[in-house]
Amino acid sequence: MNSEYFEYQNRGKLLSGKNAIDHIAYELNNMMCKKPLIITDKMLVKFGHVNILLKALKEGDIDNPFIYDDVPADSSVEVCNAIASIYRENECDCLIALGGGSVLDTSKGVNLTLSSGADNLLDIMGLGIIQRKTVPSIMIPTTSGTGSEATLVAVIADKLQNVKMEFISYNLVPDVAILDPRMTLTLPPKLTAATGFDALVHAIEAYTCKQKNPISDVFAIRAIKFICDNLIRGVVDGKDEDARLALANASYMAGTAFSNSMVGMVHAIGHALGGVCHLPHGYAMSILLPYCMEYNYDAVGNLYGELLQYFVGIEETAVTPRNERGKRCIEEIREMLKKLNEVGGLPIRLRDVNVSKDDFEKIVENAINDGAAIVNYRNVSKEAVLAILNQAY
Amino acid sequence: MVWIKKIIIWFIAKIIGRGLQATVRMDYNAREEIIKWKDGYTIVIDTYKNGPKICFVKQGNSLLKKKYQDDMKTDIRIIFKYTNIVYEIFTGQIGLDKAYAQNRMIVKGDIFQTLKIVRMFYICECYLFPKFIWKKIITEKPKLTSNTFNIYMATIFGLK
Repeated sequence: MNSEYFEYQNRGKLLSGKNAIDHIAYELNNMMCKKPLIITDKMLVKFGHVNILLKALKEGDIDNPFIYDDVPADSSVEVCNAIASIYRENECDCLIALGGGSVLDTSKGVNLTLSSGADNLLDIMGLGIIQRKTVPSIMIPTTSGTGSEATLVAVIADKLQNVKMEFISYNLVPDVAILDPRMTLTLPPKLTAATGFDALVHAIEAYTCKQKNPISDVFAIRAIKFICDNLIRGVVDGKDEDARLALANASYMAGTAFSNSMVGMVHAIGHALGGVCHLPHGYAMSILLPYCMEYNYDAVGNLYGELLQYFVGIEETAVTPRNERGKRCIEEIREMLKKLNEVGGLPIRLRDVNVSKDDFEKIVENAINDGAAIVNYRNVSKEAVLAILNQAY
Repeated sequence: MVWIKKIIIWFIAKIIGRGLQATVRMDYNAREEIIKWKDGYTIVIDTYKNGPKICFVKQGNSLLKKKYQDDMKTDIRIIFKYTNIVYEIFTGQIGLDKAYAQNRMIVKGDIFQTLKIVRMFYICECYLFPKFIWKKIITEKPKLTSNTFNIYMATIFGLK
């Protein structure tokens, strides 16, 4: 280990495993909260996820929580502002977010607005923006990918500018994260593949960007191992609770890793694709990863080589010459993508997901200005982003 | 020794401030970064507690230096957490990207626009610092559209 300075924080409590949600009332009591605002979406009400939560709350004598179930797939500043008003009007005392990345990030946006006393989330943009204590919050992810339940980042769309904006503060990490395999059992194969791959990209970028540090490396490596061992299993058999829980844990660990080391170029371009073309984040990650790894190879190829063992095993790694391991790792990721494309329908080209070349200019502009671009080991230039988009098309 | 560093920071901040203005005025790529900002767009480079503060306001195609006031409205405020890191950045010992990666600064304002300041700063550093310094702190040399002599003249004498 070298003597480079780094900071690390992982303050949240994690409840992970079978029936983990049943502990929620106890946790609320620990936090001295009685009137939660549940933030979720209509699909999760329909599929019964919210009922599982309500039942657990009821057992702890929390009978009538206020529910906001209108979070869209691509949340925005306006939605966060509206929910913050509802929280104030109903005098709630904590937030429970139940959903995918959009719901969890919305909850963080709401928390920022409430904690800063602002009416508009746009007034408090930035990095390290909130120093004071935030509103107590619990997050229950229903996908295994964003890792938002473990991170200090909220990505929220500014619909006016067609930009996905990043809000970053250590105080955004929730007080409690709950990983319950029941929450992800109904996730369709394609979404399981996309979100699982998102977690893989979090871990790989956390392990290979400028902000990497020895503690986040540990989480990143373990997340990669869990994903390599369980992603295809979870896509093929969605009812496999062990695989589901392993992926949920991997997503949390990858979130913890990148929360302290940030992500790089794949996310910079991915956020831009999401902002401009509304491409689901997991699809963008899976399509872009191999091309961005090739671009970054000259700078971090040795680190990719260190990851090979999690894709092919120790024996296979041992017989691969050291200077070929990085390239081999990229090849193995391509193979994994091909397999996920076959069993889960995960898209692997930009042209397959209706991205138009006409949008490339705007995507390039947004990507080079994304916060993730600055911690990528190689320069994220206009030319580089355009070349990657063309290769991935 | 802190007071010596503060004097050095004050002196270099003056030079870099003028260098940044000259770079924006004379380098096409640096100017492109700010062109879309509205007039009056205000940037403050600040240090936690009592360190040095530099303030710029966008006006037309230029960045104007402005006297910092506590109550002024800013669009982007980059706050370094302690004086020594400003010293290291201004003397070319550490790059802005590294300072960002190591959480040595916070940003209040739009991160999207902050990245433009970072790139502008890189261009300025490539003009003002000798190669052996900027090579250590800049990942890849940005395209320069002016020349070092002109930037130096403009920085020292305010020549156009």
